[in-house]
Amino acid sequence: MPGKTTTVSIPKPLFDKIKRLCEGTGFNSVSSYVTYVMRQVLSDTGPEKKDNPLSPDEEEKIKRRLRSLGYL
Amino acid sequence: MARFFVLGLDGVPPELLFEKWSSELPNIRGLMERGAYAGLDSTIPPASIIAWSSFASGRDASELGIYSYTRRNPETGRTELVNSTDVRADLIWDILSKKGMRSIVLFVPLTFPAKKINGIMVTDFLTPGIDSNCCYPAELKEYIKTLGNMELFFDVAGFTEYKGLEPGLLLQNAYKMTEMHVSLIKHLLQTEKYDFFMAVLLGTDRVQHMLWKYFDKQHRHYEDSKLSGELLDFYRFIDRKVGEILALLDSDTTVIMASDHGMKGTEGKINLNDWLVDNGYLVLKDSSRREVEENRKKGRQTKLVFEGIDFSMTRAYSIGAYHARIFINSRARSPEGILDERQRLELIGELKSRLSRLRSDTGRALDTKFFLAKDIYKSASSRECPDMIVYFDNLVWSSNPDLGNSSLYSWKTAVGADCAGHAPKGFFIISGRGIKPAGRIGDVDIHSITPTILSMMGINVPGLEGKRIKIVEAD
Repeated sequence: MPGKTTTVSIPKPLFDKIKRLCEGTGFNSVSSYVTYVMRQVLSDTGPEKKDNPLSPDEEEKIKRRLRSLGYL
Repeated sequence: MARFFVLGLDGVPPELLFEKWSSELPNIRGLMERGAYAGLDSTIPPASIIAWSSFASGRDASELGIYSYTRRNPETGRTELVNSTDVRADLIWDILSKKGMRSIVLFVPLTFPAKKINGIMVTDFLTPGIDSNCCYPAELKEYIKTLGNMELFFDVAGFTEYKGLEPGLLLQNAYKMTEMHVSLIKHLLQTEKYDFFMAVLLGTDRVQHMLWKYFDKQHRHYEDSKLSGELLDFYRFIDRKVGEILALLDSDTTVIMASDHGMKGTEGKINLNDWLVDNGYLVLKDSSRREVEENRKKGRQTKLVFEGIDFSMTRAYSIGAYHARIFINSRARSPEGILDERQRLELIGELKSRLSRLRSDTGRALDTKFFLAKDIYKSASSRECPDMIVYFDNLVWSSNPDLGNSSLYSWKTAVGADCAGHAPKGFFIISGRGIKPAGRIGDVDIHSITPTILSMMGINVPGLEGKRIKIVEAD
């Protein structure tokens, strides 16, 4: 059974462009293509970063070391 | 079940280990003779935190999400440090922990803050001190504190000016740091069980950066001095320590020794951001331009910070010492971007063409290498991913990102001078259980190490198949 889906709005010209792109590919609908692309994009940004695990003092110490090594 | 011990020697090039000084290093040579050895193709760029993370995961920079020591926060636009929580891929000890196998992980770059693993972790040179989250389990700190000077435990220069450190003191500190690290390795080998043990010794990198010109007679700035034999002496010391460690391993262990990248003498630095400013590609905000001018009058360089860039006018900027990471200010990268995709591609071509014509200060043609992100990374669309990486003269010339120099060339950065930089070729040795003597084999890819180890342990990880090194295994 497919998972739950919802609707988002995109400009009509963009929809038409994607529809043309999908023709002759393994994507049977604009929705499946957009879902695929969005998954690619979101996997690229990774999970949301948690709060900074470094205290300001720790961060400053590491920055000093990196500056002394010439990396900052 | 195969058990692995991996010893990393940061920045050690195959030319010194396998050729020039091989006869001086009996313990490492013995390991080579009993197994197989090779040059190791590092990551692009050959920066330690990327290279060791790729070594320990089989993943490239884009899969790890790590391109540099810092990243630009997409929301605030400010520079922030990367740390172990930014790594997006599983490292080998994460994979082994899930399988119930025990790892001991010491000093591997980009492991701070320490993670809870099935085993033991002590973090790397990006650790702010022994009182931080540097050990798992934390109780191990009490033992570490008995080893000596904690100011030098994580790096040779504490938090002082590494490149300003007098070479004699640098060496002294490198010996002390390495002694402490090897003591901890030996202690854990004698007291703990493990399936996978990996430790990285940093001293070789730190010493080579500053002492290269004293031993390498081909170096442009060669100096014959009492320091000329010191690098070889440090290698002999490392070899003795390797001997002490190997004596504690049993015959059921497969041993790997490797570096993350090599090292080569450098001639000088090309002031790339100054060049980008002078040629209208990089535009600074007024306040930043005034600061650069004031510092220039005092003979000082100025660090480029994101906050100082006028993104409404800038087309390209560069980050990174040694190698240059060039970012095109495109709309795809940032909401402040000003170039569309066609303009981005045109600008890459234009920069490549103009930078390839830059010559050395003496007029020598440079063997400059260009790497486009889409050609070297699996997933090059991240906003943190540079558009192009440049090795001036294949890294014989470094890139200097600092602003306000008096010419295209400089001999030091804002923090001091060194005389060697990272080279793309490191070394790899595998020996011990399961390995037949095979002599020198073809160069191996740094991304193939973890898949090889996992495969020899009988573990299959999706996405890592097919990357295994062809080694002659014993029956």
